[in-house]
Amino acid sequence: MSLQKKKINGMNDIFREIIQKYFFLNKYKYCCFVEDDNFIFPQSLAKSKKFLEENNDYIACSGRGFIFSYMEKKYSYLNFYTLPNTVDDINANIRFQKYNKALCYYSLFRKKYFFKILKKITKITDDNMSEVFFNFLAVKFGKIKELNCIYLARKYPRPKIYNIPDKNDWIKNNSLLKDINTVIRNIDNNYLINLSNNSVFKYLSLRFFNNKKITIFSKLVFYFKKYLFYLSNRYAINNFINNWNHL
Amino acid sequence: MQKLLKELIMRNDKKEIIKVIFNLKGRTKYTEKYLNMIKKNYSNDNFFDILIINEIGNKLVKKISNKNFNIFNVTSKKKN
Repeated sequence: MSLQKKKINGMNDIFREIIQKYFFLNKYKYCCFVEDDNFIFPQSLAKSKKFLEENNDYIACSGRGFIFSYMEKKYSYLNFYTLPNTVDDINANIRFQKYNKALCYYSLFRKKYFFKILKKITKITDDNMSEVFFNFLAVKFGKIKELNCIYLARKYPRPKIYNIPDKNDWIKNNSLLKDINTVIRNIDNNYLINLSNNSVFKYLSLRFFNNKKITIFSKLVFYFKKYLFYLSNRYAINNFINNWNHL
Repeated sequence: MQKLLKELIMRNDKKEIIKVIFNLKGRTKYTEKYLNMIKKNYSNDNFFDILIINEIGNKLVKKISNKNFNIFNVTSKKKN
């Protein structure tokens, strides 16, 4: 199948299509991207916009997220979903250190930064790297805020197209090394000393060599966090899931 | 042309946020569910517009009638 004839094949193709539709976006000040199985809460968008209006030094804002799934004939809460944490240091290197590596593109962005990031992303071809690239460019370009409100609901299981590729398939991609080089040149040139600890290489090594041991203690911590999140946000979560079940 | 003009008129309001949704092939019913959710439960939060980019060859998302927000329904340029 030639490149010209292929269908939408992953996040990178989607990002390219958004750039081509700039005409529709040019009058807006803020924008966010959402996949069809993710729901961004309108009130949280409003809160994010208000925050960005009042804080010119931030480029993006979001809140908390949760995952829901179809179980026993109805949708139910499954787990919390980590969105980008607040990284508010003026120094980009410190922002890289503090950033939790969560996906940034659901956040409400100042449009000019959103497109600045997308334009750079079109230089690479590997879909998985495009997500990494988006995240790190966002952190490089400015401060990011995580508000204390439910911002995103994410439905599982997800369509295959949105899934992270198998690491064996990923490493076979001929463009991967070229793309890593592009990402590093764009992001890490000024932060070479901390490159291995904080940035792209760290991300890649976590993806490729994820040998974290699961212990009974880590499982308990996981369940505690999951239910603590639910208890803290039960009104918003239950209200959403109830409405979703009745659609 | 008329359709484009209509959309340009609709855009002439003061909303500052646009939410971009990508409608992948075979996923139209999910995108429509998303829009129905907003219409039924969040229709008063009318401070954003929605751009839906439909993958070429896909069934276009049915626009929901709502005075509170504009929906722009466009097709992606990717060939089948």
